[in-house]
Amino acid sequence: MEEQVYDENLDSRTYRNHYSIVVQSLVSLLLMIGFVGFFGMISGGGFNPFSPVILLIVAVGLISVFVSIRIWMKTTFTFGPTEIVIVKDTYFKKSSNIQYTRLASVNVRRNIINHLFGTTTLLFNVNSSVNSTSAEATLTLPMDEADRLREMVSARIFQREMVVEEDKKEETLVEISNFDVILHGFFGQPTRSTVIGLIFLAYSLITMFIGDGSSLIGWLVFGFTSIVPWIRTILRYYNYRIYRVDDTITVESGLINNYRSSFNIKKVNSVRIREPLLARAMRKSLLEAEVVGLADSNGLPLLCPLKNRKVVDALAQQLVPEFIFESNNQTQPRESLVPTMLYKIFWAAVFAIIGVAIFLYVTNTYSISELDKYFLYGVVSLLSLLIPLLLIIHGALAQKNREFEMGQETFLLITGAYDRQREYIRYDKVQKCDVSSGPIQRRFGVGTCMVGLMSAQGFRGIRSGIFRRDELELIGKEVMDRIRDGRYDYRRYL
Amino acid sequence: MRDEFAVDESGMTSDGYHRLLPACKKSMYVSNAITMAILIILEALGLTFLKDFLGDWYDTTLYITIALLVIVAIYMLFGPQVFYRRYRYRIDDEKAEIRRGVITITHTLVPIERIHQVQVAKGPINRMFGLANVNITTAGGVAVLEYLDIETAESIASKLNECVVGILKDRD
Repeated sequence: MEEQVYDENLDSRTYRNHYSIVVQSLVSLLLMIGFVGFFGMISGGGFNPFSPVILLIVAVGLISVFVSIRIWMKTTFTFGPTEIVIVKDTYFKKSSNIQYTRLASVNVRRNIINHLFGTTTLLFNVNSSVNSTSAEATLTLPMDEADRLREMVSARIFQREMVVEEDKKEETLVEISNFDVILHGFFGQPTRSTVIGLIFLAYSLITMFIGDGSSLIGWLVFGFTSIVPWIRTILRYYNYRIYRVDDTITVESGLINNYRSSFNIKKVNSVRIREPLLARAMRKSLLEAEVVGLADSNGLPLLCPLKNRKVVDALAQQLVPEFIFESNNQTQPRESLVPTMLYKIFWAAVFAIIGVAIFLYVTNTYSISELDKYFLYGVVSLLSLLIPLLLIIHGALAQKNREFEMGQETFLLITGAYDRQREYIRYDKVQKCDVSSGPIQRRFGVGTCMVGLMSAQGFRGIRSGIFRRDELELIGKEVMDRIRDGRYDYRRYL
Repeated sequence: MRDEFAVDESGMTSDGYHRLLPACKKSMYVSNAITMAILIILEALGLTFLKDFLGDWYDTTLYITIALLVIVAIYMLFGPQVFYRRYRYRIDDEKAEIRRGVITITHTLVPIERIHQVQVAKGPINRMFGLANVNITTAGGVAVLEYLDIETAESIASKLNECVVGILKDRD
């Protein structure tokens, strides 16, 4: 049995949030008034502090500040020997108990308000698919007090003595320069997002130069789909550090807001090495982990931003060796070639026919201007040539890329065609397994497998490539065998 | 019929899978008929109100949507037969398994150890024919045992619940 490093008989300690959380809600109110005022001014109406909209916002804001003060005063967090008890004695009385064994992670967040008031916000996340993206308990305390509490709670969750000051001195397992983070922000996005962004960029440029100049919507969409996520990623992962002490992995990053997340390796469901198309061309990849109770609005926990493929592979071996195994590069079998390609050829033909039909219909029905003719040629070429070609190449790459292999504790699914993901999944975390085969796949004895996992953002299905059905059925069989013969023991993951 | 779906006189496959009651087809046909009626009404309303907007494209849109409706109607006509012939399920103390599909055949496996919640759901059409679904919820998604007679559904749900409670008790 693992040694418990905390004292079960320790007295309980009760905390209340730092008063700065009220200031935070006041800042939100001021920002909203500023936003409305700014739009009032740029729309020519000027800034009128007594306009009905501003007065309404102020009224709503003051009520929310009053509510925030009440919540701040009437909410307490008691850290007992085995659980956290959160009591809200506001308009709705509520008490929740969170056992330390159910916690997946303790996260630290420091935003501008925290920096100004010298506080730290601690986020306690439960290993559950319900509300997995929001913390079950959020507590803001003065920095030194937060560090002491974090040490105490971490000791109880991870069963190891932890000293925040010593943890800060831990060497990072991989050197990530801020230039790497900038590259990650740009090339780490899935190719689909990059293409959508580029389409809107092209649209904005075309309408700016040859259209009527009304390209604002295009620029806005390009900004929100490409530039904003890029900047957000850079701000989030600047000054990146990662280290592992015993079974606890800690990730630190942040330029303006600082984040520090710690989680136990037992809470990791799967590990994914992702290579978007442009990153692949540069021989770069990134490492992510599926840890329930650790995701936030930025998505999956990142273990390594975009970095040289060999560096990422070496880091994965060092950081999460429990997941990685030597693969024999078993790509899709020959039997999968026809189902894979026929599917792509079918859709390529559908797009080609639609393109030709549009061309024939428009040219036979309307007399169109020279400019519209170029637009028509563009659309028809896209539908009848480019998309079918990309689909055929997608099929060929999928046949070459996709792999499936079973290891001792985990199995490997390599998916994708243009973008490529290598995902190592724990058998013990598979919740549900579906093996499917369409009519053509059945003729060749092949199919696909979808495994359902509890994920950092609820639940997620991961679909394999096209492999022999009897081989894919072995995943479910192995999951059952492990439960049956005791290799799966729920206590391993508490 | 493929071997994996062939049943003996007791209504079970050689590897112990159960088949559905023929009443499930009636429930599916009623449900499909309602869906089809709604689609036809939507098409008629859509084409009437959008006639001016569609202009020269009206005839083309009409033919395309009618063609799509015919395809859907054919699927709804033959789908229940194929669904019934292929649907098989098996529950034991360790797992729940479902084989199903009209065009794509899927084999679903849910270890009982992973079940979080079991629920018997009876919709109005299913109730008309004395049928119910059993929704098996795991942390990785939901598996549904469809069109079971109510008695079987209740007994499966209570058996699964007993297994889950047993597992939780063992842990305590």
